[in-house]
Amino acid sequence: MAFAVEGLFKSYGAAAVLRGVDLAVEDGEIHALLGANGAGKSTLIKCLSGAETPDAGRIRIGDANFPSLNPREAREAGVAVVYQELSLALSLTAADNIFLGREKRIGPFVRKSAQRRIAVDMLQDLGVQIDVDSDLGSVGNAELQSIEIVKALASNPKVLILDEPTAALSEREANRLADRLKQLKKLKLPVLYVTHRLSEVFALADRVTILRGGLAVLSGRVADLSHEEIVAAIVGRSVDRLRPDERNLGSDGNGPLMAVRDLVANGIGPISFDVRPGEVLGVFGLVGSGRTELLESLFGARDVLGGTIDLGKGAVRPKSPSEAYSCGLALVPSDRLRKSMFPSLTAADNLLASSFGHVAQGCVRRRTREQSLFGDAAANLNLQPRRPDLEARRFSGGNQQKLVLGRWLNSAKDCRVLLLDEPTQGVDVGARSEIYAALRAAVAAGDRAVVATSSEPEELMQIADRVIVLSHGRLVGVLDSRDITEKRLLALAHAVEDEGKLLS
Amino acid sequence: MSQGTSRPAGRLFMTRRVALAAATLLATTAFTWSTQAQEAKTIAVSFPNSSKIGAVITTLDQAKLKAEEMGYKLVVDDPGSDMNKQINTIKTWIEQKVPVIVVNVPNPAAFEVLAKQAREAGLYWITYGDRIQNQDATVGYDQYADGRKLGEYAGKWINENLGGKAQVAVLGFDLMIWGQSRTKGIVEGLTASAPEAKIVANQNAITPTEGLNVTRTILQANPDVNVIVGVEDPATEGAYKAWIATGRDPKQKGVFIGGMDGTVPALNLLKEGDNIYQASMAIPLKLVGDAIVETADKLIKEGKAPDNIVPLELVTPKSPAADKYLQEQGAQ
Amino acid sequence: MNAANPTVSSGSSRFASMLSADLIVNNILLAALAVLILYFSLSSPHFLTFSNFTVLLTNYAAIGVVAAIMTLLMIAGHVDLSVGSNIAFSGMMAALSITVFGVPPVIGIFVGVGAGALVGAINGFACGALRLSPIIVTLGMLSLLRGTTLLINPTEVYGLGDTFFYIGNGSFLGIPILLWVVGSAFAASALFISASVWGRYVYAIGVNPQAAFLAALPVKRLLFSLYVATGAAAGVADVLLAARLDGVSPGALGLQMELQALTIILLGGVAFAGGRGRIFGVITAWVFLGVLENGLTLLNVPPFIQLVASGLALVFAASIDAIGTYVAPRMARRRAVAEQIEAARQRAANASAS
Repeated sequence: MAFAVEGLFKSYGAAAVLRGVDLAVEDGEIHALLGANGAGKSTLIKCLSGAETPDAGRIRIGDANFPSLNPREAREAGVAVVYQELSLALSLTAADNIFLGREKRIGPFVRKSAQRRIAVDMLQDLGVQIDVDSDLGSVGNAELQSIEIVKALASNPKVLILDEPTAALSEREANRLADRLKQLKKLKLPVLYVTHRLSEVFALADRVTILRGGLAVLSGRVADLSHEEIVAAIVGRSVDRLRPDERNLGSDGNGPLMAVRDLVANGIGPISFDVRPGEVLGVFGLVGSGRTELLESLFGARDVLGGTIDLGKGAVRPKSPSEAYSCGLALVPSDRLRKSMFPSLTAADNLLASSFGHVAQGCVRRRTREQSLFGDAAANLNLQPRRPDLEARRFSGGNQQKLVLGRWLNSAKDCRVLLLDEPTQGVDVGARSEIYAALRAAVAAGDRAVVATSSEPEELMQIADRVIVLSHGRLVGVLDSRDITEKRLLALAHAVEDEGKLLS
Repeated sequence: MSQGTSRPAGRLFMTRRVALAAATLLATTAFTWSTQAQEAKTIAVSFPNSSKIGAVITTLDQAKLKAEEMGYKLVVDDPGSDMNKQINTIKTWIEQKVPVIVVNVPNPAAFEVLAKQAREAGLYWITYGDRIQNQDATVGYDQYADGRKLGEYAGKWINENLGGKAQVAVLGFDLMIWGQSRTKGIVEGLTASAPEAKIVANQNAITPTEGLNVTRTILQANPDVNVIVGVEDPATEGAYKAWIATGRDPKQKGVFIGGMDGTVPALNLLKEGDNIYQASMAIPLKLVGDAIVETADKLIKEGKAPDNIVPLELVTPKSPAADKYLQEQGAQ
Repeated sequence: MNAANPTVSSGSSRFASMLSADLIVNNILLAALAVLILYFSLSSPHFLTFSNFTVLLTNYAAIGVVAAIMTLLMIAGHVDLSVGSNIAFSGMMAALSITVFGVPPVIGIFVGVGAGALVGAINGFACGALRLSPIIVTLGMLSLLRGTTLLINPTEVYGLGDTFFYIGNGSFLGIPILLWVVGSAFAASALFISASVWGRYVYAIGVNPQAAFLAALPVKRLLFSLYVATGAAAGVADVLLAARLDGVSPGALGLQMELQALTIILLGGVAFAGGRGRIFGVITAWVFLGVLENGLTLLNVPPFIQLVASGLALVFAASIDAIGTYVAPRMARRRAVAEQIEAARQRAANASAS
């Protein structure tokens, strides 16, 4: 069967988005498709699903060749696409969802038991364990995404396209889903897997194709490629691992920039640690280890039950974000949509949200100062597009994150310790390196510090001077620059039961 | 002010917010009643929001005095605006065989079954301010006749002072039956007695703010309006303020403002005299109180009683009636 | 939102010339107002006169003050349904302080405004600080205040003196005092929203209160202040109403004004959920409803038909919102495509240059 795209061209007006893309996926192969935002991934998928008509080139599915497809033709040709947004009816059962619109019927009667039997088999094949008879209201995201995939498979497709299925999932859910996806290889189907997460490529995919500027710039077996090669192909320039220089931090006798002592909040603590001036302190931990809780407690967004924070002006315990902020703390939360963005407000409103008061005359706004502040911050962070009046929801994930970062990293702010919770979640590779650079620049002068959580060891290896590791709400280890390796991070994070041995 | 008697729904809406206070009052009343029930013959009055409307308080206080005088106990229940509560209390009265039940019915149809039960239990049912099928008598008003009397007086005044010609604005209220009846009475009375007077506007207004706003607008369209009649004194009081607000003289000759109910501000203007507020149809609050007890007494003694319709009294400038009604309402 | 709350002007963006959905929505109301004015002008010679517009706006002045300030609260995603009863309550406080306690009228005004602000502070504490549901709390206050007012004094109070008469009927520089007051209220509200830093915070809180809290914005303090301001506006409104009537009736003053204010604000394009809205839209809606009521009365349209007409105005308001939700995504899509093409063109230009 197999599936291939040959010399696909697509332009919108004068703008060429696909410029002769070649791509071939073998049966039983999981083929990862990578690319920065705007590389042409979504246009390619739209051409395959029939939502867009390519200008030239052809699409081969099995033995059939198509110059273009419309949605119905695509369906009939056997193209099944699973999108990152869920389209399931949560009030129905898994079986009902899988056969929604394609019910097994005798005349007007739905063959419920047959549907159920098939659904159970298919879900088992994928290793999904759920109660097929109850509705989906209480089912986790990873399972829902699996059901989406089963739903797509139920139509007997000839090619399966997964468009960032893990984008909306937490890290643990994503891992669970990835385990299921390996089972797809048994089906002998060509699977095209679009993702942002490099770790998934190495864990799952047999081959990878990287799009940049509408061209497939790199294609090959995953086993033959290195991490750096793939990143370089995505970004288009070589990305150094921003492994920080070995710096002599905190030994200049000035003491810590921030001292946390016996911090206790719901689900975490007691935790004590120091943040040294000029350092990027990583916080590593698995889901549920209390990373978010730690940061939000420091920032006064959660009730702190005990302990103190000392930022050089005496021990305090901030009761609200504004109090924490006046002590010199700032927080970039992890859940952008719920906790940090104002989607319908403009980029300037988002970036300047916490700074309006600082550039104002009393409480009267000064537009010119706002304008120049926005311009500077946007330039520093390389915001794209650099338009103050554009609604924030229309920026890409990476640029939205830059807007939130800019809230604290601008010239009007006097933030001493910047707390970041999963700063690159849902951010593409190119924007990631820009965010890393901004963080390094922020601490370069040595009067500030960054505390960043991450669930990706490689991220901390790139940005952190030191890492503290949390497990079940407690501090289980501190790693200095040289010791930050994936192995040690994971070992610490996982080894709670064996705590004594580990710390010795 | 005593529209509580005749237009329960209107008051109902305005005083719905006081249900809480009413609950307390109800508890107190119910308690008082239970200790007195066994002694004298009891007349039970169920009157929504009665404890909050000054004029109703006047009426019912008089009814209590009259009852005592005639050897009865009069108890009042104020269920606030909760009709369900009102029905529950009346059911308790039926159980306890209170000889006469007087009810101000916010929704006549809802009380038919209850009234039937009461009468089957051998009790007498008096409907206050309204008329239902299962009842022994009505104590209340004739809205049309009262309105017509004001209209006719205004017409007569026009004939005597303006040679029969005038531009008339009517501040009516046609969202409720009582308002429609009064409005119709005013208009028909006025056109019958002064056929050449011209009604240039007929708009809804019952509160002071509505009366003021509507009159100001009417005076824009018809600057020559010289007669304003309304179904509610508060609205015509607003019209009086509008007259002043437009820079007109409140003592101007040849101008007539007249309303209904006999509220304190209207009666004060009439008592003063020498201004354009020329008439109010005052409710004889104490007579209404007497009428309740007299009708109940007649029912108990004779087994039947005719409807007792209390006519409103026309109060004109400097008439002694103004003083009388002001005293009744405790405003003097 | 681009046009709705201009922040930092974008210079000569080629997309700035494209109408935003909000602008269209607002223009629909403006156009409807123009049609309404035209119709009434042709139907009655008394309509389009200076004195009639003075009457029209003074009739609506008190409710305008409330709407002007409550708009801020609603953009922040909250609502105060107790304003109608608050007007009666604070009006009664002001009237009693003058007639019973004999304080000078100026102090009486302060008593009225202060009583209103006090009620606002209670609402603000419950809804802003304790985070109780604004609808439930302020509906409760609506009952509670009306009842309290009637318990304090169930009868009308009148005779407030010359100062109140001047406020209700006097003019300054040829313009009625009432219009000065309502004009100042709208101007203050507009300045607050566009020129003060708090204005930005109000939108931020309306769009995403959680994010505003985590951005270290003074969420609780601001909401509390907005409730106090709304309460004080009700206090000002009661002074205006009492001044025109020279009295306060506890059962009728301010009755259903919370609904009128809500109607004006929603018709003016403020989203009930908060985060969207402009003072100019609310002013337009205020004039629109004033013109509608005045015009229908001028033409002596029977009251039943007036009910139908004001009902239609409300449905119209609802459909404006629907038009907004229908048009906005389409506009956004068109804009997105245009930008996509533009960005691609730039990339192509960059590529050929390098």
